[in-house]
Amino acid sequence: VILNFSRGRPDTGSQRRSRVRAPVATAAFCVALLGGAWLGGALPQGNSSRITVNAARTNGAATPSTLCADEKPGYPQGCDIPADPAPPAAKDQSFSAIPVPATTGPSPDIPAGTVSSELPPPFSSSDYLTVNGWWNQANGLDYDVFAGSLGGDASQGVVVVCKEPALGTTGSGDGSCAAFPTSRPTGALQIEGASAWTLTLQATSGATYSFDVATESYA
Amino acid sequence: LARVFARRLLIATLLTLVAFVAVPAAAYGDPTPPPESFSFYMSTVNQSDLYNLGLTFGEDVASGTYPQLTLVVLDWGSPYCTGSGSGSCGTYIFTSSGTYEGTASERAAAEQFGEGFWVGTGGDTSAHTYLAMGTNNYGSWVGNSTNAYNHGQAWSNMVNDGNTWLSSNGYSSQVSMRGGTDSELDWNGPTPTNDWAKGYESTWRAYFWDYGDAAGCPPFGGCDNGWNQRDVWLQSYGYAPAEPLPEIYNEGQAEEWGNLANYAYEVQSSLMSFLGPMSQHQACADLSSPCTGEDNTPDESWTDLYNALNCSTCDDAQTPPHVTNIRWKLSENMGA
Repeated sequence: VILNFSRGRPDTGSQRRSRVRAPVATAAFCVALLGGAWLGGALPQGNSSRITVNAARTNGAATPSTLCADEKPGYPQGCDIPADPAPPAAKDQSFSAIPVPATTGPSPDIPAGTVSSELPPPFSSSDYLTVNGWWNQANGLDYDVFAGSLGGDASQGVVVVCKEPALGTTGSGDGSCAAFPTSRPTGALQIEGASAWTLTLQATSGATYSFDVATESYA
Repeated sequence: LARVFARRLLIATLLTLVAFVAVPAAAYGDPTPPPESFSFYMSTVNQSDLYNLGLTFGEDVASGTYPQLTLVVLDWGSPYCTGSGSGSCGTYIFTSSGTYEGTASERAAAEQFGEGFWVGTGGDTSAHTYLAMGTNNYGSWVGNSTNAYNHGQAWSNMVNDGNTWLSSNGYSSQVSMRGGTDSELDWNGPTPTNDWAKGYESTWRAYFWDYGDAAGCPPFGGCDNGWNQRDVWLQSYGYAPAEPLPEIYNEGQAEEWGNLANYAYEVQSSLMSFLGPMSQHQACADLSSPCTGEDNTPDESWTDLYNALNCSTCDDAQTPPHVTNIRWKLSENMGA
């Protein structure tokens, strides 16, 4: 008996309904067979049955050696099992830096005080849908300001101010964010410009706003 | 002999009944969420920090704090290439100061995580972590299809190089690298976002996980921002390397993905295998953000996805094997 639990190709409606139950039913069938074999042991010699079980999951060209935890049916190559992996390394290694080639050309870093549509927001679009952002630094804090709308309500413009200690790239994650919706639902906001710590914003309705980052309030 | 036969016949009958009744009952019983793993919004490429993070994680896995098999996403932020083609790409990482990092730095940091994990697990050589190098579809630069394709290709090359490094250093039996993308429908339209996936597919040797959303999609209407279910299916499963690890921050998002799984079966004849959901519960706590209505715990994320995939009319019933909880802080609260 060969058990093939492959899900490599779409099945038919009836197969679909039985797909989840198939392994269970097959296992039950095997129990019945094994029970029969065991039962057969009570019969006179010569009537025993021989059962071969191969429960390996097969999938087209895949072989068990290529299986991985996230194997995608039909695409075992995504497991990227090296053909000739190196032997396991020693477990007592300490940290040593991996050389990284020096970058050349002008830095693409976004300068402080710049409005940018590339600054990644630290939240999902389902929380706040960001149009663009701006950042600056003062008093030992980095300020990231994002303009857009509420995730579930594109009519409600919002400014989100995130602050964290200015520690460069050490990744402290000790930050916090606060949202400041406009008083009226005038659509998503976009930062049009910045003068020192005052941002000029325009909503999709055409309404304009000024937001003072220092006081965290609309002017 | 007849009594022995009769007794064994009775036992065999009972065993068969157990197989047909009790086992299915267990299979369809209350689902139990798998233990959580974690993922990170990345704000540093400091190799020592990443080595220590992997080391601590490996030790936690070996001690049983985390499961033996883990899915970890390192989210490196929004894509960008400094030149034409795919030779000089990277991302704006999640610092608060507009920092760009190239793929070489990001790969080296992730390799350090892998090495640290290898060392940290010690004698627990059966532990394995799948480490996804994540980016997203945010920003105006990646809204251009050519840019998106080139970045996807560069990202795939980076992942391939990472796996080669892990293998050549003897870590591949416990650490595997994957790609990843937080493809959110409202950040960019389907054409450039799908083109990123096509670029990845052009050189792929390792899967990428889509840990994005299906915002607005059925059963809640039409998908947001010009997307449709086919586009989302392509991004999360239709392209050869794509696998879904969707963000499930609330029940509504789970329903969107459950509906997508039905669409995939009925329209595309495709059975989507979900790796599991991503929650942002810890990220919200790290930023002191209430994330109102978007704050599923990992267990809630998994249960919502499970229920959405196993409804009475569902075409693609399954039990997602994993759940990961994304966070900000690299060094604190490990072993949570």
